[in-house]
Amino acid sequence: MRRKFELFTGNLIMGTYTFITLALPEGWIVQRSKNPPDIYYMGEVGGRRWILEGYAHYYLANQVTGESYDLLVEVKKGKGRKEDRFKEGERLVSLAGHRAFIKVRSYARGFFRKEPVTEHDIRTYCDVTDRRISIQIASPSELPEEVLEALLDSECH
Amino acid sequence: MQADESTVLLALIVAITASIVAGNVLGRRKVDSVTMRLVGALRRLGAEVKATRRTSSMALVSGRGLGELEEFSVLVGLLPRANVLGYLAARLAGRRDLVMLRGAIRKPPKRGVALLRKGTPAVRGARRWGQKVAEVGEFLMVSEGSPPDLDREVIESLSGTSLLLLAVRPELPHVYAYIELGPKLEASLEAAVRAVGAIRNALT
Repeated sequence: MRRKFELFTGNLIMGTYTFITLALPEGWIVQRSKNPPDIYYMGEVGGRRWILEGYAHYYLANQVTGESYDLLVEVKKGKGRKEDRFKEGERLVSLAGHRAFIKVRSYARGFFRKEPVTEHDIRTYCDVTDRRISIQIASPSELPEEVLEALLDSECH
Repeated sequence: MQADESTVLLALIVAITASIVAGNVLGRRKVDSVTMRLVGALRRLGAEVKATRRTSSMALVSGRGLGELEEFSVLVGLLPRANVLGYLAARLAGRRDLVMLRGAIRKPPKRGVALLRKGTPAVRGARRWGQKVAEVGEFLMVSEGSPPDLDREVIESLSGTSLLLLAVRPELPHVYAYIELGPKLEASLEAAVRAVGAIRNALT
C-alpha cells in the first residue's frame, strides 16, 4: 500500500501551491525541516496551483527503523537545454508518465567527522506544467529500492 | 565591594557557557549509559542490533528479530540538559525521559488496541487510539471496536513496570511502546516485547 504526500506551501492571502505529490510505501513519512521553502514563481496549470520555480528541504523518515533521509525538491521553469540528455551512470525510468533519470553518487559529509553519504538524484521534465523537477535524497543509510519504486508513482501534474 | 557591569556580564557569560558545556557532557554520559543498558537488554532478548546513533539528548538503536518484531527501533529521548531553564520548564510541564520502541511484525493484526497506564500523560492522547475505553488493572484499554479478550496474565506481566503505553495496530509501525526511563527499563522492555505476541493473537 502506498501513501501520498503533497509537498505544498503558501499563506492565507496567496493560497497554497504544490511542488509535487510524492508516493511512498507504508511506514514512510515526509517531515518538514526548519528551513522554509524558497519560492520564486508560481502559476496555475490544469486547474491546480503549482510552484514553477523554487526549492524546499524536507526529511524522509522510516517510522519503524527511525532512519532519516534528507529530501530536497527543486523545480525550475522550462525544459532546459540538457534535460533530455542521458548522462553517464544514470538510470532511465518513468516518473508520472515522463522520462526520468536516476543518478546515484557517494560523497563524504561533515567537517570534523566525515561520514559517507549516498545521494539519489531523480530528475525529470513535466511537459504539462513545463517544469524541470529534481528530487534529491541523501543519507548515510541505504535507501531501500521499494522507496525508489514508490517515488516513481509520484504526481507532478 | 561592588562589581562593575562588565565583570557581572563576564561572570554571566562564563556561567551560561559552563552550564551549556556541563549539560551537554551530562546528557551525553546519560545517553551513553542508557544506550549500553538498552543494547544489552535487546541482545539478551535475542535481537540483532544493527545500528546505534547518539547525540547529547537522544539515541536511536535499530535492529531485527526482537521477539515478534521483525524490524524495530528504540528511540531514547532525554530532556535536553544544555539549557537549565528549558530543562526545568519541561520537567514542570510533566515531560520525562522516555524510551520509545517502534516495530513491524510479520503478521499484523486486523485491528488495533492500546494499553495506556492510568494517571500518566499517556492517557491524554487516548482518543488517538480509539473510541472504546475499558479499565484493565493499571491500564486503560483503548480500541476502535469491541475491546479484545486479553489474558489476565498479559496485563499482570505489564503491571509494576514503567511501561506507559503499548499499542499494537494494523498500520506501520505495528507496535508502539513508551517506557519511562528508570531502574525498571530492562524489565519493562522485556514485558512489552513478550506481551506483543499475546496481544496480536487476541486481535486476530
